[in-house]
Amino acid sequence: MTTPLMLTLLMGAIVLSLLLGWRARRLHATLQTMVPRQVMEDSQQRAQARIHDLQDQIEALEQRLHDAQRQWDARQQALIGEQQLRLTHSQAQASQSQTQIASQCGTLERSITELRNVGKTYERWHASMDFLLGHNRAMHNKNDEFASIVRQLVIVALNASIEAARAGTMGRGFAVVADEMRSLSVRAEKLAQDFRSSLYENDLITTTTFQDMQAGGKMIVGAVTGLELQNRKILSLVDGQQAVQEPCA
Amino acid sequence: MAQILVVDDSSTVRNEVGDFLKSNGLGVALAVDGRDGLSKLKADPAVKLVICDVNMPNMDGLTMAEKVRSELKNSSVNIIMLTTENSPAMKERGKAAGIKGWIVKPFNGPAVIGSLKKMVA
Amino acid sequence: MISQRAKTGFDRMFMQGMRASLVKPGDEVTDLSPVPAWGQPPTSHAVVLSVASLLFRMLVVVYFSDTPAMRRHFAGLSRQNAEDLSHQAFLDAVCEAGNLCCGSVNRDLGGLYAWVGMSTPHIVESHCTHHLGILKAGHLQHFQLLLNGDTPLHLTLCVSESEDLDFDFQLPAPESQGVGELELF
Repeated sequence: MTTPLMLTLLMGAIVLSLLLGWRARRLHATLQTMVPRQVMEDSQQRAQARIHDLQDQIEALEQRLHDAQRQWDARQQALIGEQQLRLTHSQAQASQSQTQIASQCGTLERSITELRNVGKTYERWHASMDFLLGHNRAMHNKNDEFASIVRQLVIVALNASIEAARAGTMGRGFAVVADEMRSLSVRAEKLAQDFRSSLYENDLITTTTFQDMQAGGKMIVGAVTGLELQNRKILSLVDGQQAVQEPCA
Repeated sequence: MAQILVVDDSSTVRNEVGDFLKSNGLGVALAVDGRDGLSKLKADPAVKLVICDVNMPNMDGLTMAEKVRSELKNSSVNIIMLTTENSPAMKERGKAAGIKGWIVKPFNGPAVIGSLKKMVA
Repeated sequence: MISQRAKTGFDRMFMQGMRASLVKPGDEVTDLSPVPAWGQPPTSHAVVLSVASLLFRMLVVVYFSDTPAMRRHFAGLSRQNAEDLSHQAFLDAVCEAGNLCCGSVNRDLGGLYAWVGMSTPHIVESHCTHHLGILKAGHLQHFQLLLNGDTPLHLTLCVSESEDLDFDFQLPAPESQGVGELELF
């Protein structure tokens, strides 16, 4: 056997022994960490049993959840049913109220339209007012004429007194009559003036009373118009509500 | 042919408004109250604009406007109120009767002539 | 009873109305103030207008006579020629001025009270106004408006209340009133 061959064989043996030694050390280390088989099998069995328990619990909980879900669904259906019944009932009531409101609004509208015809009353009042003022003017004219006659009478009575005085004793009786006439004329003149003042008072009362009625009537028409507008707003709200509800019904 | 009808119980207003409109090349007819206004409008359907007082004896202006729409069935003529009133209730009543506008007296011709001409164009 | 501040309010509204309706551009207001009652009416005739509310009635009186000065004044207010004015046209011009004055007060009252109404004007002989006392007014005030130092106008405000009245009225800004402008709907 040559020396190189022997050296190669020796090297190989050394490497092999080193490898085997390393393997042995590795195996020993592995064996140190290995659990004995029996212990392992026991652990496995216990784990399996635990898993079975947990699975049973899970199944039981799933069943309970399932039952609770069913109960919940049933309860919800019942509630929905109740709500729908109530909603239907409320809608029916609301619809009935709306119909009544619309009907009342319609009646109010007709009343307001009739009340607006109060304007025709002004035309009648205006005609009466013109007649009354014309009547007052006629009375003024008659009074003016009366006052004029009375003034003439005063002058005539004065002239009569003068003539009576000229006639001397013969005219004494006439003088008495003339004095009486003058006294009556003066009273008539005063009466004419008082009557004239009363006519002016009458004119003021007539004019202001008529104007108060005219202005008051316009105030009422204004209030009625306000009512009419409110009524229309209510009607349009009711119509709007009904339009919204009908698709839902 | 009248394009504009001026309705007012006061000759002062009729003349003031009418003369101003005529000086701006517009044809004008006049009426003394609502009843007269209705009758003149019925007789001349070519009128395109009515300028109308509210407070008038016999028929007032708002009643006239309502009757123009309901009795004369004239929905095309423009109606403007010229009045001392400006209450919201009256304006609402006017709007419901289809009036186009509202002027509080006194009449200011230069301020409104542009808009009035557009209404009769 | 009408409270003092309500009486002041009525007077303010009325004086504003006078300025708006009885003063034409170019006129100088020399005096506008309350005056004591006059013994004899200052003129031959008067225009009377009324405003009605649930709580009160108000009377506005504008005194006038058919004189050249008055004709010039009222014709000028409505941009008419005094020389061309017939008697009826003169009366219409005075009535319209009264209508504008009372209309201004009516609008202001409409801001304070929900429902007010105004009458059309009527002409009476001014002797009638001696009897304003029968209206039992809670507030009766006479006014003089003097224009350009030579044109006096006389007016009366008369308020008869059916219930106690109290309000505070401040003059609004002129541009907020929208007078003369066309409000389109």
